[in-house]
Amino acid sequence: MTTAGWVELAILIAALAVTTPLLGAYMAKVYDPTLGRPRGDRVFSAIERPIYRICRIDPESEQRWSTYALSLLAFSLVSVLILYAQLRLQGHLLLNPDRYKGIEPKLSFNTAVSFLTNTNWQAYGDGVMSQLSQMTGLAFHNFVSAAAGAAVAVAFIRGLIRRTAGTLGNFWVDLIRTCVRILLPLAFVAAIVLMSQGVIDNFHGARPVTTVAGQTQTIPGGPLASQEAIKEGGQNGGGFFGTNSAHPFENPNGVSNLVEIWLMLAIPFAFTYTFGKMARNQKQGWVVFATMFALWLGMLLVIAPLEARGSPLLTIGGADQRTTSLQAGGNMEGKETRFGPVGCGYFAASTTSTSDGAVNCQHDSLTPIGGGTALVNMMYGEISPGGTGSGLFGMLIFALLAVFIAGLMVGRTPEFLGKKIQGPEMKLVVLYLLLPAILILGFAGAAMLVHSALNSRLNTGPHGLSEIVYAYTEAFNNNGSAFGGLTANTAWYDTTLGIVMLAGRFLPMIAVLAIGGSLGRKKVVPATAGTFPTATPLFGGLLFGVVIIVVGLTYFPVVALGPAVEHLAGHFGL
Amino acid sequence: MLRRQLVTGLLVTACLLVLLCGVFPLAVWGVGQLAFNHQANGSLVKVHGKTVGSSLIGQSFTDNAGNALPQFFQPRPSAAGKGYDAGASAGSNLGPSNPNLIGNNLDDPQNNPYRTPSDPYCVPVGADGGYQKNPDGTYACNPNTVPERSIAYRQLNGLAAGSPVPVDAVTASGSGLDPDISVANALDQAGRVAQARHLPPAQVVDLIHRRIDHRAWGVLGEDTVNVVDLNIALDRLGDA
Repeated sequence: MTTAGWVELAILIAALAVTTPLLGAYMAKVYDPTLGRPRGDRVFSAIERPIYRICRIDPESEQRWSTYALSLLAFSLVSVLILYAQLRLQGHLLLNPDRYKGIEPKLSFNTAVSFLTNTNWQAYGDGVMSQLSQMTGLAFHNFVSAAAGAAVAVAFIRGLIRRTAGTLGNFWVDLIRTCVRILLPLAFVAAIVLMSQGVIDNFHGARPVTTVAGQTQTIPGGPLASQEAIKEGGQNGGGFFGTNSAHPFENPNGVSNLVEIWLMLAIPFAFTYTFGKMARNQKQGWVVFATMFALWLGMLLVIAPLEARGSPLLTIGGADQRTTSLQAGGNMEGKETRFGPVGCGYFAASTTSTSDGAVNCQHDSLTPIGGGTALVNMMYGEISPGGTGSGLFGMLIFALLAVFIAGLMVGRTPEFLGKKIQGPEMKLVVLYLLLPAILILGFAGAAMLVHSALNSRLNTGPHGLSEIVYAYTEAFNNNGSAFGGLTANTAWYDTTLGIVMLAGRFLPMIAVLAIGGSLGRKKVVPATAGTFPTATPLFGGLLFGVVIIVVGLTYFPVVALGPAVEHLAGHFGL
Repeated sequence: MLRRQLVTGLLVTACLLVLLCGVFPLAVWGVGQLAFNHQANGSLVKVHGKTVGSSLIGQSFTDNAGNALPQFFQPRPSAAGKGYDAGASAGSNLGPSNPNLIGNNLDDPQNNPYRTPSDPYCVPVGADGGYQKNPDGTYACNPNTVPERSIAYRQLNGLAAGSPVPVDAVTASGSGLDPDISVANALDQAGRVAQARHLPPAQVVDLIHRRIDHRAWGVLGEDTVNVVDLNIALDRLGDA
């Protein structure tokens, strides 16, 4: 790691420290008008009012948790069918300068589900998606899938803080307000900043040129900057191009790289402040923030130095991986010169700890423990800081587990924010935590027994196991990054990954809304001397420990067989 | 109940489509075309009035047979199509212990059955039982392993056998379109380029130092040399 690398990290942390309270406070006002009038209210209201009128939504009306969930599912069903139809029919639609054909059924299914669920796993590569499919199909879900996650998180917060209330807010209002007041302005500013650095935004088809050495090359075009901004800002991560943010048009230099990393982290971290503000308990928000931050930074400080140190196996072949004033050095396979191993490490750690899943280097070619760290980051369940909204509710589910464990230790009914956590809630919490283990390990295990699934691996041995486990882990956690060597556009993977993405998105969300509904109906019990205080560093430490232990116990065997074995067998050193 | 929700879903989708996928991208496009026309249209570079590519997208500098042209600085190995195919961006995705990246028998090259006099880590080309051989009877090695790329790089640039090679020169980039190389890689190629162009080596080295893209704000990213821009600048030296 170079001094420049450390300074870059310091700038990133400083930016997050500034934007978390600013953005978080603004978001809290968007979701809770009793906190005050949010900035730009007049302009945004003027945009929202006609939408409410056309859609016949009463913005003052509220929904019970079950209706809220039903609205979420109805919206998802309608919008995914539209996307599927659009992908199948793109050959007959507008804005298709390169004349791409309609996309075959299994890839259309996988891609539609992948963008609906905020996963943005790319089973497709370059030369598949028309500009219309990108701009009005994929980018649409970049916005609304992020907004749906935020809506569920806000409904859950309301359940935590309301007293004997039957309702959790209105899904349609939360969805629309998130899009109009948070995502749209952020994406607009970010798109312009990214364009200034060289991210393209045009409607050209691919243009042939004769290169300097007299060969032919076709330079692609497309409305990229607007999509790139929301791809990172909404933790979506599905690239315009096959190689995502490693592609120079998506991420042209060090400045755009830092902006994109910040964009991935900004809203999820800000949500902790929003939570504190809405709960009228800012310290509680900071405790959640600190736990997420510690997980994120800790994992980042594993990946980046490992990649910078490089691979002894490349040294044997003759590569000089030392970091000097003339080269970044390190394990450069799958990495771009302009980012180097450190820029890749920061991006990889952030994209897997949020639910983003964009990549600026090929994760399949990371060092064994570097790639394993990215994998474990997702296994945490996207909570450090996770996706838009989904990161916060994921961490709060762990918080409920933590108070439950603390309650067991002292023999008291656990409480969180004055709400008693009882049997019905804990059953749902356990369901939430068991689902990923069952689906990820179950499907990865099944893939080991299916010949065609094994044939999709590019790399064999322990790394081949990592490729398959990585695929199901990213799918369940709606991340979308990949060990790209796996040929995923097959009947087996398109279908099973599609199922896992759907289950990994909606089952936890329904559980979270049910818990929120159940907590919302409860009274608040006053804190006594016997109450376990949760807005303290001690609780942050307990929460951190619970996450590590639960995830460690669930996945240790498979991580040991994949990345750890590869590391030890390859003499990667300590 | 469900039917009403579905209708609302359809209407909300329609409204948001207009706003998020119509108004928003067109506004961004408009700002880009007005304020950042060069960048938004692909940072294209022109030579004598003709567009020769984009300064963000790397290019191959090879002859039709795929051999490196010595008078040009060479970019990094590329996994995009046949190399720098801007319509098929791709990394190799080879894992860190995949022999197709690192070579065979790193621990014990003496027992690599496919070893050749020049490459003890040779990974043979072809299928089991039918590996290709060179005219001299040695196995034909996969040219894309790090050991093979190192040998080829040293040969092209007249470096001593066994000397370490800048890592970016023997590894494929993530996009396959990386336009940059490290400064070390450029300097190692300077002598060969100068010779091929009959230029004093000091002039080429000086050109490299003037064309270094330094880290933004002194800290963001890495110092790089853009191969497309550097080769155009070299051609201009010849013109002058």
